Amino acid sequence: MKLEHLIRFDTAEDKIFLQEYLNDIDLIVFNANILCHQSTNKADTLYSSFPNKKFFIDPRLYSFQLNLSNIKNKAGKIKSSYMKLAIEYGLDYVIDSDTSLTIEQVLKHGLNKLSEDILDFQNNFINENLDSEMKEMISFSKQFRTPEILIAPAFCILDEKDLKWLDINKKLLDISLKVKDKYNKPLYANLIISKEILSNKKAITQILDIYCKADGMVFWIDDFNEVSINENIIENLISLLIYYKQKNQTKKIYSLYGGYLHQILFNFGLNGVCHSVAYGESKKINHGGGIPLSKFYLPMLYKRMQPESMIRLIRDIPIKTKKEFYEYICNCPICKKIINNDNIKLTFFSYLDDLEATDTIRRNAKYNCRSHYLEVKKKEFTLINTRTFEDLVKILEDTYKNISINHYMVKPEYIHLDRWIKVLKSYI
Amino acid sequence: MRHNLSEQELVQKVKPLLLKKYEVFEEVKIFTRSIDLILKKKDTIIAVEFKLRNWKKAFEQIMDYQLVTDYSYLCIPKTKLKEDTLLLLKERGIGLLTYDLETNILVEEVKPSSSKEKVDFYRDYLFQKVLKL
Repeated sequence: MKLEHLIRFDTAEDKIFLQEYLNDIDLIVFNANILCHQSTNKADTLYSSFPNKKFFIDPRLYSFQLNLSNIKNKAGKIKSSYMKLAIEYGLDYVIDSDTSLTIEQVLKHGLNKLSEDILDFQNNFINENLDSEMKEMISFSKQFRTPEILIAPAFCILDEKDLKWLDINKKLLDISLKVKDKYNKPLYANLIISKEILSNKKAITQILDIYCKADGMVFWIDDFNEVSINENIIENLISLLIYYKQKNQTKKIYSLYGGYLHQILFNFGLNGVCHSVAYGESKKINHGGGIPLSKFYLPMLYKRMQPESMIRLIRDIPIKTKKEFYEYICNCPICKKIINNDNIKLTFFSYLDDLEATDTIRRNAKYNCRSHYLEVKKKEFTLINTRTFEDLVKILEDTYKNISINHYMVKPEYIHLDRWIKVLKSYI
Repeated sequence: MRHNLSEQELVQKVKPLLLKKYEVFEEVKIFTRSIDLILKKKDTIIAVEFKLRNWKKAFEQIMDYQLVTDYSYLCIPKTKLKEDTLLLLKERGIGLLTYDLETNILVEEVKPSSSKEKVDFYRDYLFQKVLKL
């Protein structure tokens, strides 16, 4: 068994990166709302650019349960992709009334209808939105593509009050398990919770006991920023994995948002971890988008760095030659291509995004940061799949000691490693 | 001491006084930061961060400005700072400007020292950026 590498397809620009790293990806994850944006283009891309790659679709039903401002554009209007998704799910009245979905509305809507519409969307939307010529060609070959797994519709549970949605989720799951026979595919439960619920043993047991009925599970823990979470939260995530796996040894469990810490949790039964081309290792559920700024992923800390912190780090280590850069910072093929001489400050500039820089500077930083990140991720997944848990913890310990002794940077930059080590070491 | 003015109002009150000695540029963005004022005199560039309170946050911001400028100041309304805050400013080479709201007088309470944090390449990048503004 190996840790599976999942990548989310977020924007049309992601295509070139996904093509480049296709061999390193096990599953592509499409968010339903993203598919609704330029649908024909996305559908054609799946056939032409990733013809054999397995995929699934995250239905993102909860988007209509939360504050609708999260899915509005700057002009205060619901984004067209979500309008389209609402229509697909038969929830256009949510958009019309401009108020979030309530339990009463969901019950009135009908759980059977909602489940069927959402599973049908996952199975058929891509093929229904193919360009006519492409559709004709595929009809001829009868090679229509469908997702590897289906994801049960579910609402998020962010606090104890939200536990009232659990009964709805249970019913949606039960119905979906019946409907899935029509598609002949495994159906995975969809766990979307906060850290507060993750820490509530009674609630999490209650939820997992229900979700265990499905053929597997995908999960998203709200704002699970691996760099800032404390030891208790890490323990709680490990407990979740252990509990789930004790009850479902053969069923798979995937994290929809996770970084290196999640990857190491392969040791506790996590089967796959998903991130984006541009990081996306954690995300707030009840939150809209922000201004994107490309940042350099620092392999030794398993996190993205502010440009200012990287400038300081390179100055303070200090790195004077490209060889030193490869030794202390990164020796991935992208870094070797970019840091191609000993003028580190000049060459490293290609990784630095600056919100008010020229388009060329910003484009370069974006492309370089993404390519470097994907190279490092490829390496990380290989490491996880080829080394023992003890080895991986030892590597973390050595890195932490090395940074502490040499004072390369201030403690808040790397203290997360200490928190990870403390928890992980207790399982050796 | 609480003041009824905003940081932006403080910037607008101080800016004309600085214009007598420097070329002044407002809200200059560099990497993830936005510097309240950049002062330019010949080949020297100076960052000024305006704050009404929360000096700790100001220090973090200014440390980033010191990477890309020759000198940096913290500018606050006239008030008596604690000794340890003054010491921290001096240790970090950050200058202090205080503005008297009643008399409209700006005083350099602490002289900045040449930035030890500075990385010439990135300082020059900011300088070129300022020249184009």
